[in-house]
Amino acid sequence: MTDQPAAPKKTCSHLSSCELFPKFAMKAALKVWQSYYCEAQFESCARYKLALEGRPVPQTLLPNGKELAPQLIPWLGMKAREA
Amino acid sequence: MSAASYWPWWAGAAALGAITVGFWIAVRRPLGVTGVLARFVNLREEVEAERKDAALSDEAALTAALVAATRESFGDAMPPSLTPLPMPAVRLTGTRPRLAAHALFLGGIVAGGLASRLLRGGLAAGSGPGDAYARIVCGDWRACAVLLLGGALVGFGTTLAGGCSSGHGLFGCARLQPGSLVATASFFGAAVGVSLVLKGGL
Repeated sequence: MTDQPAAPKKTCSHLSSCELFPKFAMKAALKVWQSYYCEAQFESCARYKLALEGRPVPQTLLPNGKELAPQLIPWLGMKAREA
Repeated sequence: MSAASYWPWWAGAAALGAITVGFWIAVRRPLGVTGVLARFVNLREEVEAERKDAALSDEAALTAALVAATRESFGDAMPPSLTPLPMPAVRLTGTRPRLAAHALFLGGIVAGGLASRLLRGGLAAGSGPGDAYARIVCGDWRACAVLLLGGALVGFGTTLAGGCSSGHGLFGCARLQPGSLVATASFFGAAVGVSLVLKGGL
């Protein structure tokens, strides 16, 4: 039996313009988004779908379609700086 | 409008080249006029997206909110570290410019066109669709209807192709993007074919 070469990963075509991708790619704690969406199920990414329609994609929209709660952000930011 | 009142072709080529390269150096994003125009067609959604982005201007707060959302979505299986990882091998574009910047950009196109005409024979010389257009298509009120229909078709086509003659033709082809090369060949090929049919050359 011969080893088959691994098929190249099909990644999202909107990586270069996605404002969240650099954050997912460069933080270990967020890498799971990249593995789960950007490099695998990008067709199901809410950000990809909006971009494909030519509609604006806010930074608050997560790939799973949920929104970052704006009211949490200042409080979380303060906690992050304290840590 | 006589051919003598047009700007020389090389001046236009030099200006477009300088704008394309200058835009990339200054903004780090592809230059596309219809993409900019589309933002104003979707104005309500764009304003809403800009309002949400404004709440995330603090990088640390955004990261913390993302970590919290990650934990909520994927549980505690993820690594807890916030250690920076190497930069991905993807050529990233800059962040999306604000709506006001793009409004200025569109205003600049109109102002530049007017200035160009004023410097080359005045506005009267450029009014109407032109002799060549009237000869090939039509010259009366129908010209406006045809132009309107053509504009709608261009809007449909550029949305479908994700860019227009500036985004794909100027910018994408200059960067040898395969999609832009195919798109430009398609729409210029179709344009040449249609004009030959209209002229009775085929």
